[in-house]
Amino acid sequence: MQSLPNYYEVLGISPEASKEEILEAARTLGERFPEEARDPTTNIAFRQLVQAYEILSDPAKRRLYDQRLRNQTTELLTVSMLGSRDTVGRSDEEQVLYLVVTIHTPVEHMETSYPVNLCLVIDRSTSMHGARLERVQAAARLAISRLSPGDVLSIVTFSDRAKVVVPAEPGRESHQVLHAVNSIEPSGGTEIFQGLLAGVRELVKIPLSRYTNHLMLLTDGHTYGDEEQCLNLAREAAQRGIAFSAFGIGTDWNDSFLDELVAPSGGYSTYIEDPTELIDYLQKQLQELATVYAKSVNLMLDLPEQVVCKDVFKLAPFAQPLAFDEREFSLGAVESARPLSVLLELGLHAPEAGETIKIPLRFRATIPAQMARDRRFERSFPVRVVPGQPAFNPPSQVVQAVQMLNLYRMNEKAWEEAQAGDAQAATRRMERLGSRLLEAGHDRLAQEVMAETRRLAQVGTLSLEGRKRLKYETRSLLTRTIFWNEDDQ
Amino acid sequence: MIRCDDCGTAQPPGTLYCSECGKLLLSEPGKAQEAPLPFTDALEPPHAPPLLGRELTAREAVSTLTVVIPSSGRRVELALDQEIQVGRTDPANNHYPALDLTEDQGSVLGVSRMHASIQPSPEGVLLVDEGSANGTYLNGFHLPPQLPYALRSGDEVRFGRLLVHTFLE
Repeated sequence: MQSLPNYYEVLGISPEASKEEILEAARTLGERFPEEARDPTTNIAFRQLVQAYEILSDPAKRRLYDQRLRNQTTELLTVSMLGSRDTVGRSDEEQVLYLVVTIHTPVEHMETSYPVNLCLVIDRSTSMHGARLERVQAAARLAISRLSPGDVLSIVTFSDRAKVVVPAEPGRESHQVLHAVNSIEPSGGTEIFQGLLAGVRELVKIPLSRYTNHLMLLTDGHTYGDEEQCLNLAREAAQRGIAFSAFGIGTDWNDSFLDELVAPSGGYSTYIEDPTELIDYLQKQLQELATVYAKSVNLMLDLPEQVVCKDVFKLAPFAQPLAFDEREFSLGAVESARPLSVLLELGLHAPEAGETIKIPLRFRATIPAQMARDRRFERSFPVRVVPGQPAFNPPSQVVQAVQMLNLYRMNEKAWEEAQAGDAQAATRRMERLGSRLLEAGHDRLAQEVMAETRRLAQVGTLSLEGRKRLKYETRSLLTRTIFWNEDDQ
Repeated sequence: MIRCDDCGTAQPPGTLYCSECGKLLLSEPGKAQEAPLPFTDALEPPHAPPLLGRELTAREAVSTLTVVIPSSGRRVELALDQEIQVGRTDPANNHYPALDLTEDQGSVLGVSRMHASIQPSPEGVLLVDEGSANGTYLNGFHLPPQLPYALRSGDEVRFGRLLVHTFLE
């Protein structure tokens, strides 16, 4: 479906606006363009403004447009695209294009919500003994108190074996659940697959299509030998509409494994340094689960041969690397009130001036409220190829997202270098990272980087806490570029 | 290929940040021709800005400064009847500059709280860098701090990494 520009949004007016309001809005916006920029043939923003005015100010054209717009607003999801540029100069070498794709719930569906089918999969291995398990139990109690009557909560604990502490069953009394949670005792090792499998088995007892289905893993250790089984299960569960998220407590768990585990469903993974933070994270997650509008949103990249995809990173509602699975990405769920954004880094080959390269973005999504299962829709981002070197002034949102992704990557690269035994290269990179963070105004994080850099220079390795903290904190900078908040600084 | 000024690493054109050292590869001084703003095409090539008192001649009186901030789409009009401070709001020190770039993401783009000032004078309008951390650039020229430079209508000014266009009427 070809997307129709929303001219009411272009003018910042309501669809009921009078002719006078349209004129007024168009004039005010038009005046924002300096004289030199008022050329609809070269300035896309100005052209859109002129088109908006021409169509909306003519009653006949407006009626027709309104009709088409109404047909289109039965659209399932609203997609907007922001590119680092929409024109490139012809060139024989590869050029880079960044694209921020944002997907949100159409305004008229922002109130939609579904019941939640949640399973907490809790590590009760010996190492969880003490504060960790107490905090996890407190978090589970919080989950119980936060869920609505229509929601279903199941709880599985695991060590070497899994045990269903609370089976998935609608309409359960919360005091029974509380009792079961309080009786969890630590013992044994960590075998994550057993826990995940039991958790998925509980979730599928409930009719999945009518619920937001979610498995939340809380663990503090490495799993041994069953990683591949875990990842296969995560992929299978994602196909059935079950999303995974994972919380790693302490420093002894494998961060890349948890990233991989949540990737098939576009879920969230993070580091919990202090068990007391768990409550905050869980509360946030529960809130997000309760407002899911579209689930299993996937992006398929069938790119023309001039375009290659270099990387895709989720920016919002949380920052997360995405799994590239046969040209298809699981982006996760779209909440009703907050958009989902991803950053695409593309390489373009544009040897011929005069052509327009269309970058197709195909989506599929499941939206229970719209009876839409695996519904497909498509957008495209056109890039014009011109002779010479055209103006290049990327929108600041794109610049910032790329900046933060670059800082995150520098941190990851430094870690790889340190792991490979090249402490000197890692130290140099960390020093640069520290000064870039300072420049960007992230003083506290910059200081942490510098403290780890000193450690690296002296003893040749990073601390485990430092490694995990820097990874997840540099990653979370990406989200801030979307939800910009002045108070952050 | 383009090269990073800081570390010399080659990057494909269109890259925004150096993958090796994290340096912004966009509209740095001396590279301005690679990334002109949409509106600058019609303007003259960057000129060395005249330092006040050296080559400046008396000009017609102007009364309004219009600042266009392309990245945020904002347009600000200010009366030139007194000195205009440029910077970011700092409530803790009761600092509220007349040209407040806070909402244009001034903080991320390296605008200092007290960044620069724009002053009306009998000889014309002056732009002075107030010792900002990330510098003030007039048509790509890095202004030394505390020296008054003539600001002309249509000039491109960069406060840190935030680009604005100034128009005088």
